[in-house]
Amino acid sequence: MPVKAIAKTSIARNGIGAFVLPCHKISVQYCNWGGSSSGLRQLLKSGKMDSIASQKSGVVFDVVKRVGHPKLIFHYNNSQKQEVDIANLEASQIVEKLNEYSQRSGAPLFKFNHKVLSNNDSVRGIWSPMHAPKSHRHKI
Amino acid sequence: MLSSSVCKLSVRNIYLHKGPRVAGLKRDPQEVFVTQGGAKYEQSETNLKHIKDFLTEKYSIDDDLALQVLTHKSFGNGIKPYNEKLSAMGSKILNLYFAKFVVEKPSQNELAINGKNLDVLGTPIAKELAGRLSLGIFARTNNLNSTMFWKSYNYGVGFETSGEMKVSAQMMYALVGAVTFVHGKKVAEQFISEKLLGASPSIEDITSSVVEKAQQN
Amino acid sequence: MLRRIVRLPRPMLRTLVPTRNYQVARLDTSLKTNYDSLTDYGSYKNNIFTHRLPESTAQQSPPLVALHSRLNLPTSYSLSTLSQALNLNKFDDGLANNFGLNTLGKNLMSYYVAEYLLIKYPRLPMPIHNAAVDSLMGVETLHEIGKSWGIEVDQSSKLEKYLSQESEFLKYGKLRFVSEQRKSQVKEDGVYELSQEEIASLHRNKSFVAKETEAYASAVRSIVGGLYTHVGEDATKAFISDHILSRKLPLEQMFQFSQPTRELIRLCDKLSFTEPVEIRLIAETGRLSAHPIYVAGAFCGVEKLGEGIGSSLAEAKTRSVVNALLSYYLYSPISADGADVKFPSDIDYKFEGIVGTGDVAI
Repeated sequence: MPVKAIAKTSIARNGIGAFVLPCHKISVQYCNWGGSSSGLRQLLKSGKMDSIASQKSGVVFDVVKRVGHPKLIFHYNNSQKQEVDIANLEASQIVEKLNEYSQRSGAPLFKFNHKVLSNNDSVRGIWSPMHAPKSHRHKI
Repeated sequence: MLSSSVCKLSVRNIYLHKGPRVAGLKRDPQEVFVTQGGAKYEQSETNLKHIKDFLTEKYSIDDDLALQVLTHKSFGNGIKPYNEKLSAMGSKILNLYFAKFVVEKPSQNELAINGKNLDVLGTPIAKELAGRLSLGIFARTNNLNSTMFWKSYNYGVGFETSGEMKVSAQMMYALVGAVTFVHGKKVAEQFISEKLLGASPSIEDITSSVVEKAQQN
Repeated sequence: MLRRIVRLPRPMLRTLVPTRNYQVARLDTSLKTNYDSLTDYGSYKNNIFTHRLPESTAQQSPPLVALHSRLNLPTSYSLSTLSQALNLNKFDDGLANNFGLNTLGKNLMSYYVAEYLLIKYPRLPMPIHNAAVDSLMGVETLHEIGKSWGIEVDQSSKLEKYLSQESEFLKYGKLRFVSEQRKSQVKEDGVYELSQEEIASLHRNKSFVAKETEAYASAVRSIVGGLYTHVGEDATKAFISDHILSRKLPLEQMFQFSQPTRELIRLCDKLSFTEPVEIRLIAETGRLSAHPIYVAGAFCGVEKLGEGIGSSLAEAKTRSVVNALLSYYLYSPISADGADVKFPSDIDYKFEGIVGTGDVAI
């Protein structure tokens, strides 16, 4: 029997060819009564939110009025949602949050304790004791 | 499995079997690499003449590539270079060329996008233009399949059933593929419009007669 | 259809061999196509579609405009076409669906992906080549690509839209393929009810592809097709190479050998190597060592074709032969000055690679 194929999907490498922003929607939830929403209300009233939305043209901004503390919900293309509580924050701080989370990929943050994280094999290869020359071989 | 690293110069007398196949015996190449019509597998004038005349100077390809175009996988169990990869390239470029060809004709359809009528895609004529049957018939009418290196399970049962239609179509795909590999996509598209659409009967005429006949049945 | 074979020897005269006649493609009657004559391609018209989305309506849909911007589509790519690419419904008030765009996009992608594989990996065995094509532009992969572009499915029924006071323009930026009846069906958590077409396809094919997967794949192909209609082939080629050909193909993991030694010997026969294939032990830690390691090499005369490491002699032998075969099949040509080889669709194309001579049969 000749060689058979194993089905596999290719691995996406966002940014190598074209870059598609992972954050495709931001739900902005504000309240008309509570004082915790005052920063957000100021952003919306002054037109700053409008200019941010036209800047980030690839993101849908969904502004919703709901009773309670204000929040931002970021929707990413890996079907993850990130809820960010912006109660009692100033307008500038809310803008900081917007910029920070809209640049994320939706994957949770993790600490990587090694040197290199890559899809590709190491460039210089991994040392093998069996391929060392005779003079350099380990003598027991 | 394990042997010392000494080069052995081996001279053996192997029995080369003649006649019908016996499992386990190596067959005589003089007998195997010959077509049904008696043509020997070699880069000779007689074998490559039809292909070379069809591809004029402008679309010429090497002799060994031309021989590869004529060879099918079934010939000698695939031990000689065959045309599968070439026909993969050719069938894709033909499908693309004919999709663009039917879509770019001037149209009055209000639903045409930027002047391109996409409603014609998916109809029988659009599908069969680059299809196996029309290309097989084209190869036969232009006498391009007279020398093909292949093996049928039964040569006598007719054009389609013996497999000759499919093998001829693969040979045509391989021809287009070979022109693509050697000269590039642009020249290959010129080749399709000049030699396939510009022939008489053209591939368009053959396809429309095929589709009409199928619609009557 | 069974045919009796006439010219076989006596004992086989009564055998019947199943043959399949070539079926010429048939017209889809549900589309109510009419045309003036067979070859008058401009006259074909599907009468169930009466209109396309006007540009002014399309501009009012936020998800549509956002998608257009996220993919960096040129301004000449109209939003109305992008909305049409997301519409799979045939009987939706006469609004044109994406079938034509889908077919065009599929043809374009098939050509450019095949060209890439045939030039970059000319010696890939055909089943692996087909699997690689599927890996780059198959239904599952296109589904992943569509989701990564942030395309959402229009799942709310007309009633839900009315109750939530949702703007009517929102649906033109979402993927529309679910029928109204299915949308208003009560959905149980964790239960997916198959539709009639899905049950039919499950019986026909051995594997199940969900309607949503097919819909996403169709949307991606249609977006590529739409790019061709508005901007032309060069921009489409750039788009395909940016989004599809930039993906990493895990080719080394896609081979499954069953008799690699036989295959290597047959391959060396096909390549007319005069020396016989031998597998020799290169190094070992010792037969009685704890967890021994053996390094074997597949040799053809003095030349080493491949090397493999194993914890047993048999494993090392098999790995060496497999590595030899992989080194042949995964060969990728470079041009004379060390640059990448060009593709036939490039402007200054020169044939610097090789043409694959075909797989071996064992």
